[in-house]
Amino acid sequence: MADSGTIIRLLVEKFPSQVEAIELNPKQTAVQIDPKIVAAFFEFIKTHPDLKMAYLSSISGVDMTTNIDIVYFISSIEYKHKLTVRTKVDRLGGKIDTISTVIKGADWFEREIWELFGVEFVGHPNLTQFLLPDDWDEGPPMLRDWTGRNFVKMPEIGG
Amino acid sequence: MREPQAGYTEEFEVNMGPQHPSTHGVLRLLLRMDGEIIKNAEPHVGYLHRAIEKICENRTYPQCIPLLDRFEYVTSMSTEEVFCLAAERIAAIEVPERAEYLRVIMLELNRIASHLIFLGTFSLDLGAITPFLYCIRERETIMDLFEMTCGQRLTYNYIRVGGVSQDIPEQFMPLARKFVDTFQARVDDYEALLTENPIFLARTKNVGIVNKQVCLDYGASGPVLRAAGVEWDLRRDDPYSIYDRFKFEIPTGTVGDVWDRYMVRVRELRQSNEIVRQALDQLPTGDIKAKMKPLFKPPVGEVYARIENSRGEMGCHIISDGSTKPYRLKLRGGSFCHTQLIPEVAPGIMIADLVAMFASLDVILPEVDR
Repeated sequence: MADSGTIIRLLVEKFPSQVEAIELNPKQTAVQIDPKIVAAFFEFIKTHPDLKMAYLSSISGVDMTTNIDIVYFISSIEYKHKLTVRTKVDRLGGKIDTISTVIKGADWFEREIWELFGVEFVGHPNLTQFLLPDDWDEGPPMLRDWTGRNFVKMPEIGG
Repeated sequence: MREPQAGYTEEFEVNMGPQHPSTHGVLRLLLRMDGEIIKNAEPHVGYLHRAIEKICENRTYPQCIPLLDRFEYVTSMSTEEVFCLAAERIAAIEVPERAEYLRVIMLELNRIASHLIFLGTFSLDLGAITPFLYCIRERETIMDLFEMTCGQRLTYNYIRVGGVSQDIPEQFMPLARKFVDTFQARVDDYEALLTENPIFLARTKNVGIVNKQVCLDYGASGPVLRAAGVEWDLRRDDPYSIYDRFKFEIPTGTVGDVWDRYMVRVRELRQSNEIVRQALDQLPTGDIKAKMKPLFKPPVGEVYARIENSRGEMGCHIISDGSTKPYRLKLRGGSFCHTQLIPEVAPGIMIADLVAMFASLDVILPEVDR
């Protein structure tokens, strides 16, 4: 098992100006990466003999109002270490390379983010209607300022 | 009209679902068939999409919990646990000892109940009706235990941020002990009905193989991954709560066929039972909820918490902006990845074996659609 410092050192050595360590909480090692290198980055951490991270837990999209953050959670079954990878894309019409070519399991996670946040995954094999109804025409619903036909904002509690 | 040729069948498409008894919920499988052999299978999901993640952004943390019970309703305790774990990590709350033990007891009882549902419906799908009746009988005792503790049998709202909602009543301990002491013999009964049954073996051995490579490619977890021979259990490999205090084994299979997945779950029933027994023995006295302000308002932060659910890794990604509501809440269920790998493993198998394979993945659809 590589510790947090070793993982970050390996990553920064390989991608000097495009990877930077960030602090989330003591239990999670996290890095912020340049969206341009995303496919190469996951290829590297999957194949590097000291990292071998290929078990993708999840991919989250987050609307940060200025841009959309894509957050990957990945771990290694051999070494039992884990890594959180954050990257930023444009809020409207954002594009990022797919990682489903490197890790097949990313397919549905990316399809979901495409549908709910409107981020296009370049090179994804099947970006088609997924969770929402076939006749959905109200735009990506997970954006923070989205207001649909039946959407009611709940009052603030306790300020 | 084309003359029929010898040895030639025309390929055709079949819709399996959305309403089909063996799809355990509302899943539509678009199958391309050559006679009885599947050429291609394409899952269509979304029929149960209730926008839980969106609704949670609009609710306070305590209000989220009853809603999250509907995310994975067969093991609601796990859903509550993973959400509370994430919220507690952001707010750096220490959960009292007794509450941790009560959580483990409930989680493992819930895992047993979930595996019993699996065992029952799985054997129903294979045409064996009797095991279902026995499984539901034992599950009933667990439901009674939950009911006397929190008043609910399915959506508990029991595990809260900082602890649990209430202590166990007086009648709980004797009934739980009686259950734990008799359960191993009950599992022997199920095994006597199925494990070495030649018809059962013919339907499950070397059928619907989800091998190690497919599991690793698609992020399969839980019993599906373990049946393929990978020893990976978050209770041991990424410990949370107080699981490092209990002794238990991690059962694994060898090839990842239907029979392996069945066997892994049956052996997990026994292991969970032993964890409940140890937790009941060690249960300390004390508080059941951490001292907190009445209004739960975590600081700005971000956490991804994950636990081992009966269906694999269950994860919860919370981003807090310092208000009473989560800024973003993302849920991850094991079934999501297990549904995803169907197109990879279905081609080439018979339609009847697809039913067996799908049942053995133990997918529930609300977890996929959210």
